[in-house]
Amino acid sequence: MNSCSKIQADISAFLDGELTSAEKKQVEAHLASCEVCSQELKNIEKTIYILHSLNFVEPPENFGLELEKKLIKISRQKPPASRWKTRSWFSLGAVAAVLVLIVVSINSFLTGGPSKVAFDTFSPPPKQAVLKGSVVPQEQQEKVELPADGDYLPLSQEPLVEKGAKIVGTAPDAAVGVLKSGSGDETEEVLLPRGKNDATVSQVKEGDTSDTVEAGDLDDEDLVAAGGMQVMSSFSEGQEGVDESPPEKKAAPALAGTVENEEQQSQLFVEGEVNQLQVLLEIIEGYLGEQELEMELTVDDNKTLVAIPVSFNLSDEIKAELELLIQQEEDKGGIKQLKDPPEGYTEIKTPILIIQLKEY
Amino acid sequence: MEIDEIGLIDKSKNGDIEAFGELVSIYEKQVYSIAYRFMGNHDDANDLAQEAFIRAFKGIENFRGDASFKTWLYHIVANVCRDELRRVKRQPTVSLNSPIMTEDGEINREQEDWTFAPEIVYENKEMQELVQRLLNELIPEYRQVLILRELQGFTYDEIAVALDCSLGTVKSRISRGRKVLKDLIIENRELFHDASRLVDRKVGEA
Repeated sequence: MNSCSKIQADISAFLDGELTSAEKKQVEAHLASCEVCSQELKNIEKTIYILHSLNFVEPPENFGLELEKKLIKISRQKPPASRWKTRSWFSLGAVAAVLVLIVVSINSFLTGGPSKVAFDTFSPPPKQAVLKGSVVPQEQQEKVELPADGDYLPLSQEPLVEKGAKIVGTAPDAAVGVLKSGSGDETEEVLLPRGKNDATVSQVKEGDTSDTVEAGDLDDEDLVAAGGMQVMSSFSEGQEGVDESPPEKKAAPALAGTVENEEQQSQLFVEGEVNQLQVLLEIIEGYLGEQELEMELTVDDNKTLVAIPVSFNLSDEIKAELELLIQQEEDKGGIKQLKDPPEGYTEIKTPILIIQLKEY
Repeated sequence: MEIDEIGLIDKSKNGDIEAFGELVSIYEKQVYSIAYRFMGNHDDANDLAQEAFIRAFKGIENFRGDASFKTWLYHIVANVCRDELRRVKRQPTVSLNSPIMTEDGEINREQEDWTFAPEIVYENKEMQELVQRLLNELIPEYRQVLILRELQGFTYDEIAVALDCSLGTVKSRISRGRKVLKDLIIENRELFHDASRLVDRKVGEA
């Protein structure tokens, strides 16, 4: 990095008094002799000055009243007061624990479309990431079940299990990956654009009607109409060399050996009250946000279980951080981290197939 | 934190809506302003500021006073707004956010001159709207740090706490966010010029 670019990267912190004295001296010395950087400093100063001109904005007069009404409504409901309670997504099973999964989709290794640039502006140009795709074959579909069986929709597999399907997306948050079903060389590109909202590459099959819907276009009504749930597929990043799975592993393409183990080990399971979990999710989200990961929620019902598939290319350090975050919340009460996947969840071999309930 | 505030927080933890309402009245202007600067319109600002307070009310049991209530609250509103921006994908124009630094760390070395006096922004409502429009072009992450820094006067440490991210991330986002905004202002300097001339004329007439 040339010295001008280093100095210019420090100019903001310099102006804010957030540099160490050594760094400060370095910047000062450079500015004394560099007109370009001095001009940059002036421009940044003016930008700050302009931003400071923005006034506080008065909320509308009925803001407090409107809010109070909502709060009263919430507190009248049985705790945990939650919008989600009104949903009947899991009405079938009178099962105490309901599975909730958070989808962590990773921006950082996605192929960049135009809008990708916006989210990851200053990173090196995104490379075509080869992701370890996993396809649950037809014969294993029945294994992907949640406790509330009968209430979820089977994933429409057809487009995904095509031999050598390669899925490439362009939207910023799309779960984009290269799906290799084992055959390796002959891949075919399939563009699965992301929906307008946050859905990851996914397809929903409505019961027996074979009505495939782009998940991102679904709203609540759609979800309820369709049985209330969308089945998502997302893809975890392949390890070097792992994605060249030997042909004999084709027999069990649900997950190639080592990846399966890694992913199972790295899932975190948390059980608790929905409002406590909500707080936890926000904290985790804040944390993951920094890692340019995006997490989607969530949920339903009182006793709720969260499985966090943190398997996606997360370093041990981050995993440890997540565990710590969960531990901290656990100490406050209301949630409990489970050592093992709970009953009913063990059937899911991998977080690669994820049931996601959208709450918008 | 004022003693009074602690009392209100404790009461709110027990579901006292009235007490929480007092907290709301202390912070509503600031929370609303953050939401407005984030979203750039009153409808969204209203919805999201309300949503932020609702989340705060629901989660206040878990507020333990490690950070100030204000920081905690701003964290919530900033994340509510960021999530909304991501959700609706009001995609900024790509060119506006195109990298300033290339992979090898080069920077565009030619600095353009700033050819209008920034003071004029203070004098003119239209200019403020123009600045808001440019702010709307930034990606949520940049908008988030700039709003907390410039509008709320948070230190880097406070921003790191509010956003649950590292100091280094705060530093680089502020730096990059300001640069993108600076470039936008320079790109749109004609608009500032026009407004500037209007202001000059008004001043002259007076």
